Amino acid sequence: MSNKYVEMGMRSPVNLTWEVSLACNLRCSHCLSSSGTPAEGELTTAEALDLVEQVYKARVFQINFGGGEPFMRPDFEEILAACHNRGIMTCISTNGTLLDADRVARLAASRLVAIQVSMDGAKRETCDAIRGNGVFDAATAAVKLLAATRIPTSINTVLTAQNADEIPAMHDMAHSLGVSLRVSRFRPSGRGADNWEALRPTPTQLLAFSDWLAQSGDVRTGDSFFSLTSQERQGLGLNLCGAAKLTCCVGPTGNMYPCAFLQTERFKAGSLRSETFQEIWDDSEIYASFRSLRIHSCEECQRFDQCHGGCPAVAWHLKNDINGGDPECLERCVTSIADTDRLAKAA
Amino acid sequence: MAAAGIRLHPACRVRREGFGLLFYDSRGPRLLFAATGNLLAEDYFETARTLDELPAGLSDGQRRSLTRFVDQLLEKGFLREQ
Amino acid sequence: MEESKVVAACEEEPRVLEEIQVEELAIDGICGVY
Repeated sequence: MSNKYVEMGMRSPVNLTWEVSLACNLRCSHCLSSSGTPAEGELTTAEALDLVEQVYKARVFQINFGGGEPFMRPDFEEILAACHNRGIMTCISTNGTLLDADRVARLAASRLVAIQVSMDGAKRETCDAIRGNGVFDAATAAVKLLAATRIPTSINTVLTAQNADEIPAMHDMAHSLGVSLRVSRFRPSGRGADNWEALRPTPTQLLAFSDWLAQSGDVRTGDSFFSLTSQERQGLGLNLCGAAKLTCCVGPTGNMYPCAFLQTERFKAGSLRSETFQEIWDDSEIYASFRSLRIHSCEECQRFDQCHGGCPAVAWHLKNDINGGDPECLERCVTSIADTDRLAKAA
Repeated sequence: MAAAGIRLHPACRVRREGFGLLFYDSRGPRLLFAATGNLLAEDYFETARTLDELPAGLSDGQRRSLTRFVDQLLEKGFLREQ
Repeated sequence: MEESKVVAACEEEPRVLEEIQVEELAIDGICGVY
């Protein structure tokens, strides 16, 4: 189900992902941005606040903050306040380790804050193997602080081979903590690319997850699993890539990209240090190419209307072809498993 | 359309687009595309409105459509009664 | 159709469809938050 109004072209994104810094106190093995030390030349406070004004003028509804760890920026709460003064909704992706009672109380003072705390396993050893020692406990403590407030809170998990079996348990854990569960897709960018083979879910795991997701309507996915979406989940989210149509990404130094998983020179749409946000949204050739993306190789597929070729970022990272079709879509998972079974029987 | 004031739900936002108005509900989240053309200004629902406050110069058909549209938005939760 | 009824039908004001079309779309972050 494509949306004709989206295809007409939006005056600005509905939301945007803003990686405010690459600074992070963790070194998660799947990090899409290889976070750790700040990038050279990250936006100053003045530049960040100016961007908030531009985003407000463009009537963007929501900013999804990430990084790195957003709270590593000393001025992050000032940036948030500027967003809230302009009525912009903010959702913060955080590792939770820098959330204490005082900070949570400040955040809870605004009705325009939602928070997702990253956790990558229902068991301490699973989570900490990816995120570092002690993180499971620190993140759980943060979730408990948040759950006691009115801040909409979720636990966010990146689906990997290591935690695929623990997703139902994570669902239970989120429920028992009084928060929701979000599962997002692992993509081979940043350290995720370095550790792709070790961490990627298998086709069998992806299919199992797709089946489980079909029965779990309260689980969020950030529209990241539409290539696996079953009939039962149609209507719960997008069934196509929203990059440059409904969303875009701002990096720590003010470069703009189609999405957070394509933050490379090849996909740089523009720099906020030389153009305005609106100019880049309106005139970028990179954005124009994403708006006219046609994944022809998938058009004959029976599931085309449900996924429209899947995630171009994954196609780019794995096949060097933005138009190549999602290598991990439901159909390809089924085919891959069938091929493996056939080979096993022949052997 | 209710006699009492009606305005945008606090969890919702609205902006103009070429086709009319785009509503955003952060609780979903969800979007609502409304082909209102030039009928309504972007900030129309930011103040409480009553039946008497429909834009001037509308035909009877447009008034009826607008009333139905407002009722639809109320039902869907994008607007709420004061 | 009788001529009188045809004339009457032509003299009626055309009923223009002025329904405001709406389309709802559920989103779930649009990959915005990873």
